[in-house]
Amino acid sequence: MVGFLMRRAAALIPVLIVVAIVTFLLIHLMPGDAAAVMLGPEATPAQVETLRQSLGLNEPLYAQFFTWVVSALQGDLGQSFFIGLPVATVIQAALAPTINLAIFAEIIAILVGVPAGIVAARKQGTGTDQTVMVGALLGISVPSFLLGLFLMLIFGVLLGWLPVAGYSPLEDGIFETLKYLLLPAIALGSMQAALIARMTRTSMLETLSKPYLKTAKAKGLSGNRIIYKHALRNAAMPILTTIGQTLGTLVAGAAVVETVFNVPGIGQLIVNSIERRDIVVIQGVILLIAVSYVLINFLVDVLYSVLDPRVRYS
Amino acid sequence: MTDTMTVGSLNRLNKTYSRRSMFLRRFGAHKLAMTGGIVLAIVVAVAILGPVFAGDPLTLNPSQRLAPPSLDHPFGTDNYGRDTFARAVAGARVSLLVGAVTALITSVLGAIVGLFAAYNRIADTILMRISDGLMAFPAILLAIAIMAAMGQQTSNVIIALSIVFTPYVARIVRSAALVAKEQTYVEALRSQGASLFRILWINIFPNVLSPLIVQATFVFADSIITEAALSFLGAGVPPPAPSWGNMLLDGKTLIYSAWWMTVFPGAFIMSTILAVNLLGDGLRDLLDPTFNRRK
Amino acid sequence: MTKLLDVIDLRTSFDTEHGTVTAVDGVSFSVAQGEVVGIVGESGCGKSVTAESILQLLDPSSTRYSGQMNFDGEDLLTFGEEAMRRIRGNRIAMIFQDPMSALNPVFTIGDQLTEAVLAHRKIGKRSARSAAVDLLDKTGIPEPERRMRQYPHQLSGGQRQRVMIAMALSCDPELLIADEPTTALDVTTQAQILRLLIELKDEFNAGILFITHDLGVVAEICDRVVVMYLGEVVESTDVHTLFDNPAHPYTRGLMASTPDVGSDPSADLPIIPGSVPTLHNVPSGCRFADRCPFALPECRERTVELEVLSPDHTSRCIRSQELIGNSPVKDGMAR
Repeated sequence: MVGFLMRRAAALIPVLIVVAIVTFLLIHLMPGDAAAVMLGPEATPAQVETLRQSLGLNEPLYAQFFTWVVSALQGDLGQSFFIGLPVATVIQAALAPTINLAIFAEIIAILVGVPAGIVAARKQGTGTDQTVMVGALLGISVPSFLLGLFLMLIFGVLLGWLPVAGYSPLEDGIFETLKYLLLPAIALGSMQAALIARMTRTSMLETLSKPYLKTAKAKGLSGNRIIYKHALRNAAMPILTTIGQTLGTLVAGAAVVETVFNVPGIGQLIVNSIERRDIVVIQGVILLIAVSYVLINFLVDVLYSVLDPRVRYS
Repeated sequence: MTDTMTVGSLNRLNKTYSRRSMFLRRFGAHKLAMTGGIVLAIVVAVAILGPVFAGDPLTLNPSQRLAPPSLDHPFGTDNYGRDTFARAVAGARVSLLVGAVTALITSVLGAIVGLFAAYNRIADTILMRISDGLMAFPAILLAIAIMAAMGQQTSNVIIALSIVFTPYVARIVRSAALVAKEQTYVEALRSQGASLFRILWINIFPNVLSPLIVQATFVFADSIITEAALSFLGAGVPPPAPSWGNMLLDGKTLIYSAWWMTVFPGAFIMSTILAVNLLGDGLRDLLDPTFNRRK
Repeated sequence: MTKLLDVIDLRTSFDTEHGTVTAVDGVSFSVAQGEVVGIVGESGCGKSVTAESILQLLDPSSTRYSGQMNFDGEDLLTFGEEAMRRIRGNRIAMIFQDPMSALNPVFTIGDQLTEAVLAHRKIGKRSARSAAVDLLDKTGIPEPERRMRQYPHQLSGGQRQRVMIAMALSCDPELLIADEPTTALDVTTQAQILRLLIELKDEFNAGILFITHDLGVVAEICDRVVVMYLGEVVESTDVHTLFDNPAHPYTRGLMASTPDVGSDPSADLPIIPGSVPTLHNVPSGCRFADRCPFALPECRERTVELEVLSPDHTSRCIRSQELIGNSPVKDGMAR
């Protein structure tokens, strides 16, 4: 078990190195002098030179990378030139709404996707199955920000049931938070729900034909126990993989949906940084999200070995 | 099963596989794929013929600001009095162009990277580590970051999307090529002294074509979605050029007063993506039943 | 002997994309208390479907049953799903062919056994667990306590089949259905498992319905035998009559293609020519006629009914009377 975890953890290192290189290189993708681009046409040469100094752009490339990685490992993601605060602080301030939104969306996606997939698999070929599959196709065909706009139009503008913009922090009561996050979470979760439903259906269909389910039935277990204990546990691996993979995209998707509903999270931070070309903040954000994506997938791998004894011993 | 096949039987297999009439007959039988193909063809026709019937997307008409749908303006007008229908049609041109060019670039790059990775151990290790690293970034986020660095320009959107999606294509090509490589006839060619180039492009490439086409369809769909999202966030196609994404951004600020600014471009995106997905799913069923979409 | 299970004219059909297929077509047989009845036939003859029909384990959405299956005086086919659930694993238990895939890979042996006990007995978790250990012990698995904590893939094939048997016996069933329980095992293990089944049958006084394609196994443990071909019973009698006086050409073919101990291992065994037709194109007339060395033109002309040769011997062949007690078994079969 320990050996298994060590091997898995070691495999992360090259991925993280590439992530670091890509993130670092972003600033050098800027056309011409990065400092000049960030400051805009009105800046004086002296101002540009000061920013160059503070960004370390006069150093050789490998030295810049080394300095950057060492500070990133210490939690220092640089200084936002425009906000005048450390990037880590800026991100931290924006993190809560985004994480709450992502978690809420993932919960909705799992609660909808898994049962829908199970029902579709149990009633394969029937109208129910087809309805679920068409729903899933719609789910992956409507981008989250578009669904968000449509939901906003219907439930906010037309019916007036829910707020169309803003956020209420958890400290002011979870129900207020949920009220603000419900539409964004549905918009964000729909594609994940569709992907989860598809994968659940496929995986369940494969599992339902397994002989051990016949054994379970021959033992005299009830239909629900057979499905939810014996089948689901075996079908869980690919479903978990999908959930793990979608968690990463969810945080990114949250950034987009936040913009629709004016939720003051990472998304707003990104959009504002794009306008200001505050590339240091964007570097910090994507580094953080990519690293958490890698770690989430690592955790999913670990969870596998807990769920399936065969993985652990092989 | 394939490793016991002789060269002859494999060639025969490839021939039957690509025989166009048979493919079309099966395609015709696949109702959903047909529907997708027809809808996509309509969108493409509208995009191409747009300038003939749709009017100019950039003409300002201050007296007609925020007019609801009418006979003159079937989709209404926006806050500058520009015709929403003309803009949506012009947006289709931008979106389809970005999607198609990206799909083309990623297919070429992905095929090159994937084939070399499948053939050379060292290249494989390096290229696949790089693609793992790139795939660790959520697609939309990496695209945003690249756009933020390079600046808002339609050509930059295509570059960013190509960087984001090439690893996905390369992965698929690599695994299909690895399977093809295992087949004994490649070893036979090698022992006869065929050049690397010849083996890769003449002998292995035809075997990866089916999954490549299917994956290209999905890249097309994902590029359109991502371009729309980028433009919606203000990091894609620069205004005033119409794109579905920046039309929706305009629509959002006026969602209380002009629903048509949101609904029509939204419907365009939805039906296009749905059509491409139906087409892609159908192509996958027809060409490559064992392949799973990577997301 | 009282009839424990009496199957009368059982018909099991499936709805498929290509129309309805009848896998079991008018099968009748019975099992008495303490009796071992074998169902023999090649793969595809409907023997496993017959076994699974008794517990109604087949996919309910596409399977239709008709006929009667009287168990302890009640027709199982009139039972609802919940009533059937209370029968399964409790009064009628089943052992499957491949013990590798018949156990759930992600749960421990203990978990799966305890669950079987708890499914029908109102006892606490702890006593269910100790009952499970006792059952494992009874099947002769060494270190039952340790096995309880292990997963199926950590056990050998024979041990897994012992676990299956322990599971089947968990609620003292009156009838045990064993579907090719030794096919996936090596010869030594096979003999051990057969012996175990017989011992346990005597101890529990249960009836056993034993599904197999192996006449050697039949000779070893069965009291009576039902031979099936393409969904029909072709011959049915006690085990001695079957081996001494087989009346149906198909039975003879099966016997001829079974190796004897001491026969020359390098010699080719006779085989039955042709292969079992699919259920989609069942031949009219006698279903075996196309492969039968004794077939006459009239065999293909009309449906052949089961003929009663003696009170406990029936055969579905118009030439049964000629064949019975006549000509050595290996005659007439293609080599």
